Amino acid sequence: MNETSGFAGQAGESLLSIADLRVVFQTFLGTVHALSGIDLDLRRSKITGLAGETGCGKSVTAKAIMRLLPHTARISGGRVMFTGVDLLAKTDKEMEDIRGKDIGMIFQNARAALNPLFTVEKQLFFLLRRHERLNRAQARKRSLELLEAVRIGGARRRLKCYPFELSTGMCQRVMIAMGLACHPKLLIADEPTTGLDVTIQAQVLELFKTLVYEFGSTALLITHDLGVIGETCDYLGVMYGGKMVEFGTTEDLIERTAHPYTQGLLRCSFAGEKDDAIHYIRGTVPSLLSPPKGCVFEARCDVRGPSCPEVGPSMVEVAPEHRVACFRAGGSGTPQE
Amino acid sequence: MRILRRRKDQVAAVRGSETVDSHPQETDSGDDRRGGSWHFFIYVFRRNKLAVIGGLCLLFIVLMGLIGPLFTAYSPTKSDMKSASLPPSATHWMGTDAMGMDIFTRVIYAARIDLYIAAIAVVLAAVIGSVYGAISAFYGKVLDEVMMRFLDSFQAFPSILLGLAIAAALGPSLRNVIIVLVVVNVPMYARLVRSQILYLREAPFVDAARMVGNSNTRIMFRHLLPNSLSPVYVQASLNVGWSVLMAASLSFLGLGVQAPEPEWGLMVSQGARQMVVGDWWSAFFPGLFILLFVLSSNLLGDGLQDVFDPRRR
Amino acid sequence: MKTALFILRRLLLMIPIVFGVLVITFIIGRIIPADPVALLVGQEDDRATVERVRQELGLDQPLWTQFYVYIRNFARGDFGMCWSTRNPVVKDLAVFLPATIELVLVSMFFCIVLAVPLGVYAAVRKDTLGDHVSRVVSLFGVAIPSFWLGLLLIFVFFYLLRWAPPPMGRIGFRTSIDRVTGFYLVDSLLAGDLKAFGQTLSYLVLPVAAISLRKLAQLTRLVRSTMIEALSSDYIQTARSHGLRNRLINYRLAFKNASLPPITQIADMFGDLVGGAVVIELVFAWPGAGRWAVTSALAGDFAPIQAFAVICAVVRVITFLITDIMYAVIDKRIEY
Repeated sequence: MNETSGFAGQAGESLLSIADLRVVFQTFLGTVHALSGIDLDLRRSKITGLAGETGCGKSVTAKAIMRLLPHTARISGGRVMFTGVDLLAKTDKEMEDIRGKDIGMIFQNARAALNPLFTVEKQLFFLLRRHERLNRAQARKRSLELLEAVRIGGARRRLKCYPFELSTGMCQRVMIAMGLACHPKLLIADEPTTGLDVTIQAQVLELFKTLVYEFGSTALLITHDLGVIGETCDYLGVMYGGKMVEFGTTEDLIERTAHPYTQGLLRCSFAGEKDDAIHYIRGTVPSLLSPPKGCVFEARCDVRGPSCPEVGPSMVEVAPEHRVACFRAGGSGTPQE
Repeated sequence: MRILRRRKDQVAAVRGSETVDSHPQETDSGDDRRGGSWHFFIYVFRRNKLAVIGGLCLLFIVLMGLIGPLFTAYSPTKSDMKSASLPPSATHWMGTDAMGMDIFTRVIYAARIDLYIAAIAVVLAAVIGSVYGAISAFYGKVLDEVMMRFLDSFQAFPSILLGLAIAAALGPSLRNVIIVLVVVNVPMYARLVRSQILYLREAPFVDAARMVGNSNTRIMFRHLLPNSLSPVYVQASLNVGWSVLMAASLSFLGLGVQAPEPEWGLMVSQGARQMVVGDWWSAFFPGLFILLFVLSSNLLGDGLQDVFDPRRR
Repeated sequence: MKTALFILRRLLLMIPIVFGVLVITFIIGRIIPADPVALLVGQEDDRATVERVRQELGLDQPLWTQFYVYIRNFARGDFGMCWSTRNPVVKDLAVFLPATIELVLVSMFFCIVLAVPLGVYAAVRKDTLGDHVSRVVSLFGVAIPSFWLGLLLIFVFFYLLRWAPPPMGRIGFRTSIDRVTGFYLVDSLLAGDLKAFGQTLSYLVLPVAAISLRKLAQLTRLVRSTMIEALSSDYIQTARSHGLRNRLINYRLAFKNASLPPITQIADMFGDLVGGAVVIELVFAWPGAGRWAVTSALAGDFAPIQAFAVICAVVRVITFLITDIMYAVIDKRIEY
């Protein structure tokens, strides 16, 4: 174990440990480096958030864990340790056993993510039959319990519905029900509230939090909405350009932000009272076809130093359970040499 | 203290000097989609090599039809019984047929005829069909229903049967083949344009045009119709190949272009008798060219579809 | 109840279309420059005979009356006379139509049974060698003129290899099958004559291959592309995230989602295959309705092709109806 992985010690505290994960995509324009060495630890029974702009690699991370990447993608390095075994070393068949049972996943845009030609009951049945070998009757009983757990009224009727007959909020609840159906140890949520009305968003988040705690699962919540993270997550990782730039408890990241990008993000989301202007981070995301040699954020950074374009910073601990990848980092933006 | 001030100066200097675009990291690198039509062509080519090959092949056949006759000394219609049914050789690249005519020459001249037929038929069908579809879509539901049912009746016939019936009624000739092709192809364009217009009718720019005071006809022909044409171009390029196939089938059956004019399908039927006794070349080469032509037009059409409909990329 | 209303509505919609079909054939029939009377009467036309025949045929009536008579006759099953065979069209149809239908049905079967697995295979194993081969074959298959293909098949398999029987009809000269249905495959089985059954099949191979290739290519391409689309959809990703087995995902889930457009094409197959059959019947000297219609038309006799076209159109309209129903049954999103 090198210095950047694990929280100074107890690997047993982490259900999932990602070390130096690298993912590349082959496109006709060239090789895209979607992930350039990510480290991530998910503490048991806690909700960890993963935030960042579109294209920073958060969804790729989630799919890499599940090994659901498209054919054009290749995992070119790293380890994903889940309860002590490396998921990347598992065969496809072994992963099929893990998905849905030990690791569950819920997706954005639930209505599109449910099969339009099969009823809710049927889709749950496929899942339950696969992992728990339930027959029709048993599956129906269990499905009813699940629908009630996600607070869908009139569950008996809803089972026979097709996804297009349900509202978006209900579809998302069904997704959650499916994700948790087999009591997985880990639940990954990929932008579950993006695109939902704010009121529905709140309901779904509340439900998500409650159920995760009730079921005793660990959760990874991926989103670009920092407000969502603030409400729900215990831990937070911020990604940029295929790298993890900061990681720690949510409180640490909001109160004692260390990375310039995180600072920028927060300022964009939460305007202080005195600010009139909307804050933005100037510049654009770097092209992942040819990732920069040095720090990935350096071009847009306000506090960059001479070494920043040359050498990429690695994650260092600035406080217990708080790591940053930045040479200039320190509490309250004080530069360090 | 001193350190802090230096830092601030540096930041200020950097901030002042650079703009968003000049920094190399700020622009999209390697994006061929911008940067002029040459780059666009490269982009399309890399995505769709087959389509470009198809286009080039098509171009080759067109050229062959246009300037091919310059390269051959034989006559396409004068028979020469002394050289009947000769296999391919140095003097007759594709051999001769039962009447002694050089097949290579006839294939070239037939290219002209087939291309002529296909081009005119497709253009006419596209124009007539587009207007038909546009009128049907724009001027009210009742008219739309009636016009569409009428098209339904036309499309209920298998196209070849409809073509045969009309060709049989009008009499076999080149002109009538074009008429048949137009009749058979119009419904498809009509539907295409109609659905585009039905979709565009709800667009804001139509309301805007109406508010400014444009009459319905003007809106239709100046605004809606031009915007509905991109699927027509795609369909037309696919259609050209199919039209040649249909014209060749009609001529093969004897209901299209008549002897002694060379036409690919007609040549195949003339060569069929030879083929059964082993002289394969008189029927083989014309058919091969039909295949090449249709294949290239399909490849090109598919490629155009990729270009025009980004969802398929 | 809703379904019944839906079917009824669609059936009612058929009526104007069939009417339009009759109108169209009537109009086409009347543009004929060839004078059917001349065909009948021959060279020695004296005025009186010509007039008498013309009256008999009803050609002296105004157009509307002629049309009314035309429709009435069709409803009664009287499709006119075929002047070249001197038979009523209906009688000739009864003899020739089964040959064409047998050809078309066998081709349809062949197409579906091959195209669906090929398309699914190509989609599931996208970008492998098998996929590329099938794509190339599809591209060529769609572009090949069927009559040329038929001739080539005859040249290779009959002339060169002597594997196929001569292209001279449905069975050999010396074999005979008692006509019960007109479908030789069925009739030979009914008579327990396996030798004749085998021979019928051998005569069917080449024509069926020539007719089917085009449609086979189209259908394979379509199945492949709809499968690929389904396989890359969000809901299949969800299914994978549930750990469902590949077999279930490919052959049950994605397949159902992908099956809708191919169903439309399959239903439409009949129309395309009949068109192909007409041409192939001439290449293989197949005694079917297509050849009969074309040879009559070439001789100026229009009634056969008219009747044949109307029948094909009506059958096609019925298949459209069936497709609509199947579509609505599978995809519940469709509103009745």
